[in-house]
Amino acid sequence: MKNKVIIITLVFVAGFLGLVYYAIMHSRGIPVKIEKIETPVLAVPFIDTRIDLSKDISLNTWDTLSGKEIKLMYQVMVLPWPKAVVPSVLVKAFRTQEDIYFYVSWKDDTEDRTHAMNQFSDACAIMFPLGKEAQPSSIMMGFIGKTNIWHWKASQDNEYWQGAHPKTDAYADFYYPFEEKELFVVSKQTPQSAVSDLLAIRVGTVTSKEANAIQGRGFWKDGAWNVVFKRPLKAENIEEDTGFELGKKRLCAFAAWNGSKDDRGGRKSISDWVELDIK
Amino acid sequence: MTGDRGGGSGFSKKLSITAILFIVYSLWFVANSASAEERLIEVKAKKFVYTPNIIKVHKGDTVKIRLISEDVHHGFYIDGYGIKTSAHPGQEGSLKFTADKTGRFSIRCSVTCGALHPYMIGHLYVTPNNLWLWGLLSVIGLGCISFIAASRKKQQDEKLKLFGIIPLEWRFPLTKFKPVRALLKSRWFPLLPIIFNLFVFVIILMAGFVGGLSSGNYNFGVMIVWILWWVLLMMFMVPLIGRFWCMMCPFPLIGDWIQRGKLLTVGRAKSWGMGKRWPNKWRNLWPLVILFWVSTWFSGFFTVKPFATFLLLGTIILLAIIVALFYEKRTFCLFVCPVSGFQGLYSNFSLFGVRSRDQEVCKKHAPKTCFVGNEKGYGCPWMEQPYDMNRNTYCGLCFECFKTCPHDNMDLVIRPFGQDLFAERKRTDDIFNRRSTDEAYKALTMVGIFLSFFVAFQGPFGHFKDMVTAKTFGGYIHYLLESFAIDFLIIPGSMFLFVYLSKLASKSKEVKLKDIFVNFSYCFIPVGIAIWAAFSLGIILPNGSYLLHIISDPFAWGWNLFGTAKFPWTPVFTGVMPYLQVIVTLIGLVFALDFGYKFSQQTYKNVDEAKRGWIPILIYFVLVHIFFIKLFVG
Repeated sequence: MKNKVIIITLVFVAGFLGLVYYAIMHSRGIPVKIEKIETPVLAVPFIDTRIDLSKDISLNTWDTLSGKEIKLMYQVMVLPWPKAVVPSVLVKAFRTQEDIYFYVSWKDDTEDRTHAMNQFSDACAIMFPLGKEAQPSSIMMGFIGKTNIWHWKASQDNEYWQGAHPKTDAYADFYYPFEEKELFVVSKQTPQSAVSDLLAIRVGTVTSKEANAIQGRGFWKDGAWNVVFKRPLKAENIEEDTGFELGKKRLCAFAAWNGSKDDRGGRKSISDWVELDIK
Repeated sequence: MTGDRGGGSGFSKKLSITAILFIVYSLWFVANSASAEERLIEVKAKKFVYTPNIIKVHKGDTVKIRLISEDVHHGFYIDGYGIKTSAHPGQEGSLKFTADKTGRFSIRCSVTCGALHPYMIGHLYVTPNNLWLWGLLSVIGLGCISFIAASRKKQQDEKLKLFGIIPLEWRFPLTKFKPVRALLKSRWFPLLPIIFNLFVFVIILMAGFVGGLSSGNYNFGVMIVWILWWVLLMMFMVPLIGRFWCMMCPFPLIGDWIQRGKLLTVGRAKSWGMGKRWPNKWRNLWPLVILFWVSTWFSGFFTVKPFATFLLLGTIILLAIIVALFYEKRTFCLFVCPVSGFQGLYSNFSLFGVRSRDQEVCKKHAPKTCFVGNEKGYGCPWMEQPYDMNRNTYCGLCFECFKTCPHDNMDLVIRPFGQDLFAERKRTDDIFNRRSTDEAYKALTMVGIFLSFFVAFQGPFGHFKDMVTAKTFGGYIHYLLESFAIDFLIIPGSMFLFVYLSKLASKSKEVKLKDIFVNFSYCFIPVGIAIWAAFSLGIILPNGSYLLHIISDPFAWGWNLFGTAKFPWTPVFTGVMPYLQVIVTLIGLVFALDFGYKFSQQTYKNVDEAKRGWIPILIYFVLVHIFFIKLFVG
């Protein structure tokens, strides 16, 4: 009898402890298995080729390089909600003795090179965290710390390379990520490049740098954009310019805007960090 | 002191006290008669405290509240005024009103902000606080009346009467009505209420299980157990019907089945239990004094977090099963269940009781089937001797004695409140050392636990809430030590001091201090019931509306079974609640004073000793009640 009672007791206790264990494991909701996402590594090999962006972007050169398909997600925003995400960008990079080149390509059914009232330009950007410790996620451009952003815009490309003038003198740069507080820059300068070299330290701080050493150019072909960025390897100002040290890894993130889907300012698709392996 | 002299001095004292109170009131009135002004008060809200937590204004002031949240969305509702605002972090809430009602008003968070949300409280004082003053005067007035009434006594009461009106031995057998007797003799009763309760508790356990660490005010388990059940228990079941809850408690059901092999019919088809006997030295309320106190260590968790409620109830059910496997009958209910002790003790005050109708019939009847059982029913599962039971402490209202008595000699009686407190000692009381310091400490610790609960859950002190909910380990240990000191040292110590003064005043040399201590401690039974009922008002009136939500959506799965899932938080009668709390507290005092002098007569050998010995105890209870009134409305 005694053994039987002890066994029954143990069964009840074990059953209860099992329930308690299950409840503890579920006490903050149903556990979700989170797969650890490996940070993609983009190789930046040395190639002794110089691209003259005033002529073209040398697609033949890029075809010889293997790239990385980087997944994008929509920028987290309170409102407005996104209309369409750019699912991914294909990125490639190489360096020469003097310069570093990036190639960004993504599918886009429409070539939106014009910036006007309710008409927005396609664009893409590369963000580099400045300082030694980057936050674990890119979240949004400049949200989490000091960053250097290379922002190519199709409209600016049009203006810089083709000499086209904007349809209207009224101009909005949509730097501020919240649509209801978009900043309208009333005195627009003539672009020094198709790419804006920007700095940001938190939300609402995106600022154009005075000196711009970055060049870029984009072509829309067969329903896709092909954009190339070029900058001297050596940083002019280590406080504000991204440094590229050979043999060392560096983080960056990519973003793309689809103008025909009303993307502008903070409304964009962004990637998580990508690691550059500069050889 | 003779009766005549006592009456005369009482009258002069009454006049003096009235004069003093008039002066006090005049000073109070002058002190609080400030001119009205505009007051802008910035209140910061943070889980689960307002800063400042106490706001004081004068009657007629125009009060502007600027509410700032420092963490999540918080609300700001003022009892009595019925106005509210709320603030998101980064945004402000504002409120403007004229302080035209006086008194102390609780400020409550009106937006669910986390686990302790229902207990996020601040206090608004609009002076003069007349309710506190009238409460104070009432306590002193009742004390004076009791003193005068006792002073006029010329001899020991031959027949004890409640308030000098209703003889305490009076009984009315409800079972003289045939349907009532038939119900109590049926084997389906109380099994059917138990099965219904089992269903409810399955839902409670499931809700606790799936509710995890979410906010308790939207959880079926937390709301039913700690808002509805606790309030019904303390306000109605225990004071009126005694162990009514024990009658229909589903927790021992599995244990009963293990021991009997049957639930409805009678017999011992198969028993897995070992049927051991609980040790004699623990066959009193001491285990329950300790276990209930220990269970209150976790009050900051299981009253607000569904999973903690599941853990507590699950542990109690598991213990009920294990104790039933090892020990005989309802040993668990008698000596282990944490909530059994105060129900047993307080049920001695209740209106109902099971008693034998004719003692002579029982004396002649052998064997005592109510104790040993027969084919109609089980021998008393609570191990009482129903044939000469004269107190409710250990009667679980299972009504097995109605089934087993072949002479239909058991009655369910209505009697005056507190009848059992004056019942004569039985042999078992001495054998098991019952009706001694065990019951005294049970009565006293219930007051201490009330204090801790009140300060934590109805007080405006954020740091105490942090201690109770173990925000820091050191704070939690501090709370436990404080709880021990209040329950086992300070309250019994203060009582003992006045008991000592009572002995000195009585000039009695025969009566032991322990007996005085134990006897007068029973005054804390009506007091305890009253303050717990007043506390319960502060739980159910502000938070009862959450019940409408949880009955429609018991598992927080988005159901709307009865169309009430969206019913907003609606405090009910919180404006008159302080008045009700004062009235209930005063009712407790009235009983305590009436019983107190009777205990004094039972304690001391003659009327003079009783009168003299009663005075320090009377003063003690007046002081204690001034403190309680201060706590509720002061």
